[in-house]
Amino acid sequence: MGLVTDIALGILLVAALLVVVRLVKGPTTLDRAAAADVFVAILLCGVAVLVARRGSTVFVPVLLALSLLGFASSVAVVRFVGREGPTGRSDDEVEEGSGS
Amino acid sequence: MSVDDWVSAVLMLSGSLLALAAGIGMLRFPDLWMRMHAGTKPQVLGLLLVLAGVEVQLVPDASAVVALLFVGLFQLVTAPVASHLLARAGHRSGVVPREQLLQDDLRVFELECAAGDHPESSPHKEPTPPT
Repeated sequence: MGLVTDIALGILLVAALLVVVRLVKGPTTLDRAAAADVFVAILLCGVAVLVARRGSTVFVPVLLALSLLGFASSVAVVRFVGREGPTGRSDDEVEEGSGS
Repeated sequence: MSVDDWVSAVLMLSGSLLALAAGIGMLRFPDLWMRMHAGTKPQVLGLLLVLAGVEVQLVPDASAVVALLFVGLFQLVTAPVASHLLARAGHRSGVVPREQLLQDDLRVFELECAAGDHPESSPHKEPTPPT
């Protein structure tokens, strides 16, 4: 069982590194928010595999806290960023400029 | 290894491989919506597979299994809301190629709001008086 959890943790580590590359490169803030969301999901998978590996349930509350924290952080970032366009103009100006 | 160990191993490894696919997709896909399409795999299916594998291991401990079920439930409820907000913010800020869409209902709705067809949805216009 230890070998299986080691392999799973290795795969999850590679996946998390790929997502971190996108988190650093991401051309827009929304790309970074999406990458952070996926990173939290992969972190949840990793902590769950760690629970199975150690056989102790010490980290189960960590899973509960992370699953709610990831949602709150991504929603906060998106609500904050979603008001302005890629050029820094506000959403209303974009609508008026393209609507007229 | 017993049957439980095999089931748990298959579930955990398939969930991990979904996470790896999401990492490759996040890195290689060209725009926000495609990256979100790739990133949804570990958010829902991958996490549920890994949690199922861990629950098979922890099955004598009922409280831990219930807590893990709640983790899966929270993720099922919150992931669509966050993805919806993110995709709509991408649509509004124009970081996705909207001109390539064959059908853009959100754009149609915005134009209708600007024209005053939905009085309660457009705070800039006076609501049309009832006739």
